Amino acid sequence: MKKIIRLLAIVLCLSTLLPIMTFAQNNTINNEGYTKITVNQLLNTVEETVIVLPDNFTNETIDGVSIELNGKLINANININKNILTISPFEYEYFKDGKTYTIRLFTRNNKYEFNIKATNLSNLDFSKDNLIKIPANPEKGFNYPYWLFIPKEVNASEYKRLIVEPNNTGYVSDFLQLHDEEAKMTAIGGKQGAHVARWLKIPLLVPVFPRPETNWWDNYYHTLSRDVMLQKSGDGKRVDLQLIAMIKDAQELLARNGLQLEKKVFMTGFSASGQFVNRFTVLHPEMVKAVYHGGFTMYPTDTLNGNKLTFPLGTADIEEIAGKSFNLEEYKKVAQFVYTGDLDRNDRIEPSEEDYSEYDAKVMYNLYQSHDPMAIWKRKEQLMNQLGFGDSIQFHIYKGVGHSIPQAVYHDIIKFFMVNHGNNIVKIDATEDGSYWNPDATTQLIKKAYNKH
Amino acid sequence: MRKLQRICVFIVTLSIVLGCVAFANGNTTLSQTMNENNYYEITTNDVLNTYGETVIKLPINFKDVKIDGVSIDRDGKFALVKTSIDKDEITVNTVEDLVHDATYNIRIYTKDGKRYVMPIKAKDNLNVNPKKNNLVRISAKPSKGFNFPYYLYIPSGAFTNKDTMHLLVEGNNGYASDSFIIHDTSAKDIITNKNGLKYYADSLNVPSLVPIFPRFADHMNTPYLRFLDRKSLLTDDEQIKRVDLQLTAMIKDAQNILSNLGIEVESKVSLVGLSTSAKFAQRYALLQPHMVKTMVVGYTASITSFPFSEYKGTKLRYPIGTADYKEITGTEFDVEEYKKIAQFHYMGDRDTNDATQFRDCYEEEDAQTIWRLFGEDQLNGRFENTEKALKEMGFGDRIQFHMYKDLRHEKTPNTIDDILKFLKANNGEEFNRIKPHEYGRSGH
Repeated sequence: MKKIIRLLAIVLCLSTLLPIMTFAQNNTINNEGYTKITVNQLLNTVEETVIVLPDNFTNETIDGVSIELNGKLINANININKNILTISPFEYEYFKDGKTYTIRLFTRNNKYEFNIKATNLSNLDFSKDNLIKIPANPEKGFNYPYWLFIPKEVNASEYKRLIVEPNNTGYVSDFLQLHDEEAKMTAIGGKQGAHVARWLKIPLLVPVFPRPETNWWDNYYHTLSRDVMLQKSGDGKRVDLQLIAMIKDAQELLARNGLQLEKKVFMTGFSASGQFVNRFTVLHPEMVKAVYHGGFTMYPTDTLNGNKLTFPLGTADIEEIAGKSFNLEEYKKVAQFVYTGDLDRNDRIEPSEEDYSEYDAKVMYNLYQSHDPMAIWKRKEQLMNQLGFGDSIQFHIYKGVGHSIPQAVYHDIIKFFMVNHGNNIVKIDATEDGSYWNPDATTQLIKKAYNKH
Repeated sequence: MRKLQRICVFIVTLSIVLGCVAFANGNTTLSQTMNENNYYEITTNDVLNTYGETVIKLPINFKDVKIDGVSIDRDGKFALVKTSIDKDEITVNTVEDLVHDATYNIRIYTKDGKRYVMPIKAKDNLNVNPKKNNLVRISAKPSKGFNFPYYLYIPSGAFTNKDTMHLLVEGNNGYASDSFIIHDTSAKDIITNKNGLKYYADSLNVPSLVPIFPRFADHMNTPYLRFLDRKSLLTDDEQIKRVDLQLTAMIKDAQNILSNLGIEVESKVSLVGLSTSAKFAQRYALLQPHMVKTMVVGYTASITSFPFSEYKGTKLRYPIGTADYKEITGTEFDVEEYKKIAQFHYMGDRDTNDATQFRDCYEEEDAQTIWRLFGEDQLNGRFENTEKALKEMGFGDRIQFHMYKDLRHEKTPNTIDDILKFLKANNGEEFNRIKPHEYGRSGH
């Protein structure tokens, strides 16, 4: 199943997004000796841009090409084949959205110059799948790139909403490229988010957050750990707010392309990314419409049965952590479906350097009075009921499944987001058998929903 | 303590990276007249590193001159490099490897209308410091038999090591991607892994080598070079053909480089591998037994590449056995050389990652053979059956098997400790079994 999706991902057509270019050479020479050329074309910030130069360049050898921004030379991947100039940015050195670049061409006897404006895409072709990487944009509030997968016919979907799946590499590495590659795979294939994106025809956002090996114990970004939330400086500061900035940027990008989305998003994740979703929901419920994840560990309360719950178990110190108070009203509006496998042994209530403190472990044991994962899971459900959130959250156990994403999720998640797109919170009749897989049933589900309208 | 260790490692890694930067200090001179293409020529004895950063002193100081363009080309194509000029220094960083021994033109255009060209040769950077740990990257050399680059790590201890040394070799692992930088990064990750290859190299004071073989994005339909699968042996594509022979060529190249640095290693190597790189090691040992002294492999899916052609009446074709060895490789299997290899195979009793289930790793036919002859469950019988088969067929004398308790598909201090123990114990001619930890995880 997973393999098939990955394979599909590989044959994905990525749009090249080239406007029809028009070129004019007005033969004026400026006082620095450059012959000015006018080009009515945009420079793609991430993808390759192909520029067809006037015919006379087929006979002139171009020895050198340079790109300049604000008086500084920029490095890029440049190719010249006769009069075809192709330019792509080097990885992580993308052109900046909205900036105007000067490109110079040096031939044996002449030199030419033209200006070109860089853009983050405003002419998407919705008739095909698009995979887009948006570079980090500190000015807009995100210091890491993100991937946006836009399934074809997104504009025809009933569901005008973004789905977000935080990246979860599964191991540490100081090389952001590796996290980036995994995020890309998440965006185009492997997991639940891309599955929902394809079936419901909604865009998917996957951030590229790091999970460094250096000081890994303080840097577990993929779970949105306490140490990560407390970072006071550097690129990794407040990645929760960075994700919100990415969401807004993606919504704006799609709006520019004529696709207006709801403000609130769907979110999904499993294990580390499930925890990320879980914590993000408590911190920013006003951003979230519905969540479906396997990572429930955080309670929307300051105290529980006499235990003070600090982040990441509860909201007792949310002011210190997030600089805002807990928004109970908005939290209650979030439809939540959380699951585990009956054979999953990963939820250990013990202190770990990267996540739980000794205090957290003690509190968890006070709450659960057990180390048995199934007993803990049932207790979690009871506690959420006791707190009065039973109506908005559904707990589910998939049978025959360890610490992995059950196949049945690929069916149930579609069902869940379909019925929780509107104002009411609806629980679903979820599959018990974790290995259940029936794409025909999923198709029927969607057909039925569309016939209603 | 652990934190302190990590910080130390970080500093070491940094110094390795910095070690790659070389300051060229040859002679550069500027001609006073323009050539026929309107360039002032700069001649230099300096070289560009094929990989990484090079800083070159220029005979002109650009402090007060605005530079309008810099580019580097060879045969009319721009090189994939990043450049910057600061006063009289140009810094070049490669994005894609330059070609060793090829000549490039660095061109500089200034606002005042002057243009300069400096022809310069590219060379692998072999500057090493015996007082430091060194990471060297050798670019592809088709003329020497390898079409991909490789990493060579030389710990400072290797320069003074008087023991018998066997180069440590591990295959590379990582994502399927068409972006080579990803494969480069994963290979670098492996050779600098302080819970793996770097730890063994530093502890034994022995150099290590990791090839950078790609795994293509379309991995279901392309040869799996890092698995040395049938497709990778049968392909006609010159570039990716026979990566076993390519690795042997890399090893010989590295041995030559080390010898020039005064480090003499034996012709045979120690192979280590985990999971994918374990499969690579097992198959490489079968294909090139004369190159292998020791092999330590973990998470093998409880199976190996058997050094015989038939078992229980079933023919074992490559990569399960040697039935079609000659047909595929063009040479006879050298069973005597294979028998000399000291081997340690281990598994974790909670390792659920079974490569026989993945069709890009094992073809259906081969997976069926394994399941039928050695067992369907890698944690229940297959490991024992594999060991039994090797013994029955006369290969038990120099192979040790071990199943760890409470161990998944992971590296732990215990497994790392045992691997080092085995490598140390088997550095000489004699085969020595070790007493491995019973449990994969400590704390029992």
